[in-house]
Amino acid sequence: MNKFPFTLVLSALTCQLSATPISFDFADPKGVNTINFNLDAPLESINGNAKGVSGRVQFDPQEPEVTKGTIDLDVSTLHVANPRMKGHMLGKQWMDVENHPDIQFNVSSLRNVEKTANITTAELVGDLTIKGVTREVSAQITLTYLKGKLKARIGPRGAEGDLLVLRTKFSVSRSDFGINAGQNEERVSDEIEISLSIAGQAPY
Amino acid sequence: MRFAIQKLSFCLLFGGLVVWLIGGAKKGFYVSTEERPQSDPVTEIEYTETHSKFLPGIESLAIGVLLGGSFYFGSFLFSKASQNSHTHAHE
Repeated sequence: MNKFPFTLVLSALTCQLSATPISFDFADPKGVNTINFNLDAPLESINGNAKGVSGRVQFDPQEPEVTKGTIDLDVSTLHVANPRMKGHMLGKQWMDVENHPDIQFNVSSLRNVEKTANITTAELVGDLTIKGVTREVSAQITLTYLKGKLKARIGPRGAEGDLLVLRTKFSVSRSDFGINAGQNEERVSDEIEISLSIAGQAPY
Repeated sequence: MRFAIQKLSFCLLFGGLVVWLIGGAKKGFYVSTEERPQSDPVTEIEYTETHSKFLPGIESLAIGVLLGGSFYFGSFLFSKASQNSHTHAHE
């Protein structure tokens, strides 16, 4: 009796059962990964972005519920179009980049996961740390798993691999994180709307 | 003299207004960069690229109003040149 097909099925099953999450690196060499922020105050609307995204997320396409990871943001890459405002924003009174150079988001869990083909939608729960203050944040998130698309994105000299795109939008209060709390609220709103669309890569 | 200063004040006011309008009549301050929308074809992520570009803001209008107003009201410290020359002609 030929045991080859049985062995093949068994090893495939073993692989399936012991499938480990794929680790995606969110440091994007193409510079596409951007976090946008908006503060809409009565007197002024401030829009800006930040491109210093890094971090790793472990994602299992078969079991998206177990997604874990950390996304980091280099605070010095926060950008607004007015240079004077940018100076103030990075200064001690606001973001205090010298003492708090990073913003960190730790993914705790995904709840209410719904999966259709390569797209997963869920409620993301995690801990957001800004200026040394950590608060739990939850938001709707869409995860798009693009199997084998890394080379198409990086170019013919790039490695083969997968991509994971995260899209989410949520709001935080600057007073919760000690960002010049209670000050200048007529020009800089307390609520900060944050949206991010970022891609992570996992070379084979 | 007064009339010349008043003409200058209107020029400053109008200049400030024109510069503000050219800059897009923004409520905010001047900007030194502009965001141009881009799209990543594989991930379909929409992002922006930052390019250097100066666009005047509300301060250009404010400077125009302040300078124009100052010159206009300051002009009353000077005598009317035309009235003086008229008076001299009568003498």
